[in-house]
Amino acid sequence: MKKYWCFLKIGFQVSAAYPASIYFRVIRHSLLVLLFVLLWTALFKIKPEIGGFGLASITTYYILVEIIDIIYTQTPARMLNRDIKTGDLSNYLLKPLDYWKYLLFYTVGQQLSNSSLSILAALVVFIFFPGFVILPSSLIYFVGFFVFSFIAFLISHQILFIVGTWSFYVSEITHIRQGINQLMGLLGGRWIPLSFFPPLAISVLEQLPFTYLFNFPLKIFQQQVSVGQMGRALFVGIIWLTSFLIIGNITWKKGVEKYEAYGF
Amino acid sequence: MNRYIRVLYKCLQLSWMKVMEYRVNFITWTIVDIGWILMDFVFISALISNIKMIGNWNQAQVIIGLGTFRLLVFPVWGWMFQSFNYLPKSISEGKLDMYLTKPLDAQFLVSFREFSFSIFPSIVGGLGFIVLGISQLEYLPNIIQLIFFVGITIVSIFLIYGIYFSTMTLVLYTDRLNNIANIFTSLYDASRFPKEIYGIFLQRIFTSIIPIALIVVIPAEALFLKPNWLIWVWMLMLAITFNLVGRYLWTEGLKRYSSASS
Repeated sequence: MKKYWCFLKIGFQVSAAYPASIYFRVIRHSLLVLLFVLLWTALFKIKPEIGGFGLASITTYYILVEIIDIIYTQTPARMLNRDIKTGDLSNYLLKPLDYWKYLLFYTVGQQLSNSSLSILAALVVFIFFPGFVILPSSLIYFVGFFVFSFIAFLISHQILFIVGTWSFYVSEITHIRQGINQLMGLLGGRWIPLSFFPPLAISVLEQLPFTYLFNFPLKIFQQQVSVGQMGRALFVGIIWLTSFLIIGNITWKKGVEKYEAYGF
Repeated sequence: MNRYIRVLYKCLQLSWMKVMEYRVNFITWTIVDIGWILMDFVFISALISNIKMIGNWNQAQVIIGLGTFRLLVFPVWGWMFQSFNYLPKSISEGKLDMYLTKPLDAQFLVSFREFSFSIFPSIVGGLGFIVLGISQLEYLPNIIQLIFFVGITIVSIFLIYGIYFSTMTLVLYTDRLNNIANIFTSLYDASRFPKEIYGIFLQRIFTSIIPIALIVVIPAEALFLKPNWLIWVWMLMLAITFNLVGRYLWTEGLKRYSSASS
């Protein structure tokens, strides 16, 4: 297990070695939040409530969406695709390590580095613009938010790992990867709150695993769910995660059987 | 000039060949693009069902603005993002040498390296939204307005290129900056709404220093407002300025470039 913690450290160091990327990530996320807030401020001048949201709640929504989006990354699919295309995967198959665990720890390390400054920037917003954000009044919702964000990270990581395993069959998956990522965001409430969709669409979308990526953690933060609903959702979320882990294991094993190393 | 046109044609050909080589990739992104068009429509429909005006645009004008935004997605995502996305990696791996040692302008080679044809649905979607919006207007734009719309859209593409390329040149001045291609595209997403939604101070910023409030709005307004020569000339001047700034940053940045592999 110690070796995987080393990969976490390496992922952190590789990302931190190029700080300009981290600074630009902060700028990008801050710009997105600012532009969303400006747009919605203008819209709410015309009508105080749209789609069940007021100005403070929609601002909170988009700030949190950016914070949660910071923790997601396409690294699992990107790295697996690269390692398969170049034949570097053979290195990892020959070594006494689990590639999935290596990828997970490396990704976590990388995201810790990438996200640190962005999360600090978000905290500054919470502290200096209290009128724009609504914080939960109870600790259980804070804890629930962090627990579900962690589950969301694992679900996202696993989905993208499965997408990465498609590289065993289709050598170029860049657009597939980006497409799935966009789809997860769309169906998860990244771009617009799910409450803006028609009621039938909402009832379908809330049954899918993507709701755990943005929609449900945000509902917890905004105290729009009860503790009982959180408990049930936790159970369902774990089932989804377990399902994706099983699927990932199957696609990985089948892929490795088919794998031919290039570049050797 | 002929040489550049021939090379451009070759790059288009190679991009098409690559797209056809990885057909699943192509089809997936085409589906994603269609999904984005639908999502835009759902979002705008949800918005305008709740509020009748956005800034000083009515519902029909908002739909025309959305159509213009979708139309311009083709040069932004189908051309510029595809080409510029390779630049940070080329620089960090020293592969920029391949462009610098060719008997063609390196900016041209970097800017027209690759194209994506899976963004084609955005052209269809954009035109569809524009037609839908025009059908809801109280009048039809005349032929002069249509000509101005095409002309100012070309100027807008020229301006978008200048801004986008200028931001990309920053990669020559910093260490590895793989996500810089996403900075402009994030700004572009915010350009679909009229500038009146911003306060006076931000309107000044977004119509001059970072003119994102002009790139979609002015071409769209050419279809439903009277010609505003002042703003069009201003936009042309901004386009020329940003392109000159981008060129300057590029040539100065190349002086700092040292290959990583040779």
